[in-house]
Amino acid sequence: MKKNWKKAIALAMTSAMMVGSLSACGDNSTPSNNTTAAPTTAASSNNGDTTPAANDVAGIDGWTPFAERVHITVPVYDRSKEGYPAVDDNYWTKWVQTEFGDKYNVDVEYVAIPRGDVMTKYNLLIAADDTPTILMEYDYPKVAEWASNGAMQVIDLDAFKQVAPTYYQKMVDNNQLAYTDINGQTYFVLSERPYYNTSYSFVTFVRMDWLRQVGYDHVPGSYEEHKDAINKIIEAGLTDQAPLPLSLPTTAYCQNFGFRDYPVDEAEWAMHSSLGTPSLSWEPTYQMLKRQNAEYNMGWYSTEYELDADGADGNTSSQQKTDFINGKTYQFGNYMSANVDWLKAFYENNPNGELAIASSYACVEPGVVDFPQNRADNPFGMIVGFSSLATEDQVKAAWMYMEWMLAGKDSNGQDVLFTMENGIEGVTYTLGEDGLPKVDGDYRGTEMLNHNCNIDMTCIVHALKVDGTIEQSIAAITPQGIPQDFTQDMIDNYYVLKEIADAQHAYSDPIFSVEIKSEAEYSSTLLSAYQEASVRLTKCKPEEFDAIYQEEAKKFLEAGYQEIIDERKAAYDAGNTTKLPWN
Amino acid sequence: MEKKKMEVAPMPRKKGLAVYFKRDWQLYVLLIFPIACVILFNYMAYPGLRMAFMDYKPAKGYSGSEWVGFETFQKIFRDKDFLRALKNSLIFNFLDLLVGFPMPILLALLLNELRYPKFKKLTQTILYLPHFLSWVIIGSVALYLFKPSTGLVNIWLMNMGVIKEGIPFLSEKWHWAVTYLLIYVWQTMGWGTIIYLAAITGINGELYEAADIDGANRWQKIWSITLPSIKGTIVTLLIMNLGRVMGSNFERLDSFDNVQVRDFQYQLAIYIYDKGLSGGNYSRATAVGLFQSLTGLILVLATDKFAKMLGEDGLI
Repeated sequence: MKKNWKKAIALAMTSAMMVGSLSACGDNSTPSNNTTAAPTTAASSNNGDTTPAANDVAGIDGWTPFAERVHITVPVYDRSKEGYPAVDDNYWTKWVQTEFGDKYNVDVEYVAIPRGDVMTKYNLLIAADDTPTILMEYDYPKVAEWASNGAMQVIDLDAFKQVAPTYYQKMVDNNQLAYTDINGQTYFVLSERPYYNTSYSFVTFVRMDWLRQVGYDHVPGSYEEHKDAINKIIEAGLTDQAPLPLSLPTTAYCQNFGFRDYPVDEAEWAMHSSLGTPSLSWEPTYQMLKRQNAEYNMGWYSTEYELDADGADGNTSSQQKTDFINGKTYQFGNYMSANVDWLKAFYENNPNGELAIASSYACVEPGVVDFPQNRADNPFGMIVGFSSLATEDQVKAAWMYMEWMLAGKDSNGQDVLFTMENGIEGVTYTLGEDGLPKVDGDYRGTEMLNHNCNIDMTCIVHALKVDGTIEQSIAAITPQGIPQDFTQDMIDNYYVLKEIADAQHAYSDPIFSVEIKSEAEYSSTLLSAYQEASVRLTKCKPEEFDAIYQEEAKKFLEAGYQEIIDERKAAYDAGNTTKLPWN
Repeated sequence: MEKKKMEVAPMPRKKGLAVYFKRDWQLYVLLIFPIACVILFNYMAYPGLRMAFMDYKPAKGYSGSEWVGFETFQKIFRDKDFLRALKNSLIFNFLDLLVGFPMPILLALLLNELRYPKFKKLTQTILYLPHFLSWVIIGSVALYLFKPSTGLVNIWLMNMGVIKEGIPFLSEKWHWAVTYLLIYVWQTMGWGTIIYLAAITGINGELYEAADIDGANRWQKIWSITLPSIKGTIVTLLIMNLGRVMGSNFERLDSFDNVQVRDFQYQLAIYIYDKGLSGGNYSRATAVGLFQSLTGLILVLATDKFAKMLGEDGLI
């Protein structure tokens, strides 16, 4: 009897293991983000007024819930920030489900996309037939690649306008319709990027207390002053390590705008100005690296800076932040919000520290950088496309989600966007005397906002939180809870940036309306090659620089860059690119 | 009776599979699960290998992607980066084998000679521990230990007056190569002793007693009894290790990634990730993976044959 029991148990366990394992062998041909009840156009039509497009009234007023449950997946950046809830499962994702999903019979599922490795994650999702209903990215070449490879579906902007008229109108107002097509077909809608040519929310702070100790009562306003100040800081021994931060470049962005001729030759600009591939072999990049080499040889940067390659938040490394907080370095910059943890930590560690905002003119050196030139962001935020696997209803639900976030009201009658960016009154924010919300960045309860006021959820409608006038918007993102008030300094900084932009010294990179195929093929390898080359060129002796540069530039061109610039040039000649603002 | 005595015992009849199955069916049922796993994880993926012969686009699937034959392989073999990655992989895997393979044998022999059981167990436990650390953790710790000017080891050596400038353990390619190999040995040697210790345990104790009577010392016993007795195990493990000569451990390489040492660190796993997976070029990644597997298989078969020629049992 006992023996039989043993046999039975062994058999049962083995069967369970088998079933468990083989369940993975199921047919994967049906996309997991299909609607749960596989609604079809016919099914929707049978229900007459159940789908939004079936109603003649455009926008939210014309929406009624879907007859069958619709499942959509929405990407959200995961920045792996400590102290924040999971990006794909938190109070606000649940809030969206309650306020939007349940109301319109839609399941909204968020998919975390690692900020530092966007393409790999998307590629894996696409390969596994798990393409999110919405695909979105800030960089045009990436979305162009998805569209060209069949991961996105062609959309009808008239239908989009019917479902999401407010969103569409924003695109019209921001002159974005020219960017919706690639290879002659419409794939994208675009979110707004307010003040796109000033990038005022990124602020670099410098150690004013150090400057005072070396004889300055102002921040350096030219490269000559900047160089003098840094060398004096080193001489005075104000820090026991290299005073300026530098880390291995982890993105393709070369900060060479200041080193370009003005006005820059448009064909050259089309060939080289890009966030997709570093522009080694282009003269402005040569000039930029040459200056960096001279600075390295003056002892401005750590001799082991290349070991610090952590650019997980997309901008600056954690080592740079740590060094600044510990009072070891002269400057550090990042995006501003009401709660900037590293500024608070800086003042805690350096109670006598005094900071000031760096001048945009600190790079100016006659003959090399005659005046500041800045990279203007794209005149749009997220470029949003829709999975080729998504059903008609899923696409409509995605459009509704976008329109609802931009123009919808929540169950309390408050604007959805306002609630998502500020939270709950008395809990995550309070209203100031000016009637504008003051977000409590220290709040850590369940309802806490995720990174930068939930920007990674609201980025689908705009790239930046805006509250009233520009001054009010800046005040809203001025760091709170620190000994110094930078509101006016940040406003002044904005007007300096605006002046540069108004003089047309801030311009965007070109955008191609055809896919640059060689870019998809080589960009990853070329970034790796650029990392090697830039470190070598930064750390070599100044007299060796030119010879090494020639060697590295030749290697770089042969490694695929020549193909890229040839293809870009051909696209430019064929008129498949945007133009410079002054042409 | 007489006749019966003369009868020759009948030859045992060959039993059919059914007989064995009826007798040991429980064991066969238990075997289903591992076989299913092998089929599922090893063979079910085989149809995916056609990716290597296509310009595969995930969104288009197999039916929508273009068939390109050997074009991907031709591209790969013309690619300087692939040749660099291949060369580095072969060199470092042979070095791993050269440095890493004998270490567990030596260590097992040393552990076997320890006489105080508690000390032996403690030593074994300490030696096994690194095996349970992931390469990511080892890489992070190594970075903080071995940084040129702010690493603990260099600071300590400089404070002791042994060196004046930090040794670039991780930021100069030759130093990196040594550090990389030694850390591998440190991580794997303890765990590698387990099989050899098991083999040593199986040696007949009478052989040692006889050697003692003959007056053999420890060294002679190791050389004449222990090593010859575990020769078969050593050969088997050597064949298995040779199969990995074309392999490449991404986690290990990525943990020790550093732009200054790419001349050596750029190996096949990095190539597959850089030029394959991260760019969505699955055809290239598959083609390189297929090349690695086939070469590994050829190496195993060749080594197995060579071992048999030398009179060993071999693996297959």
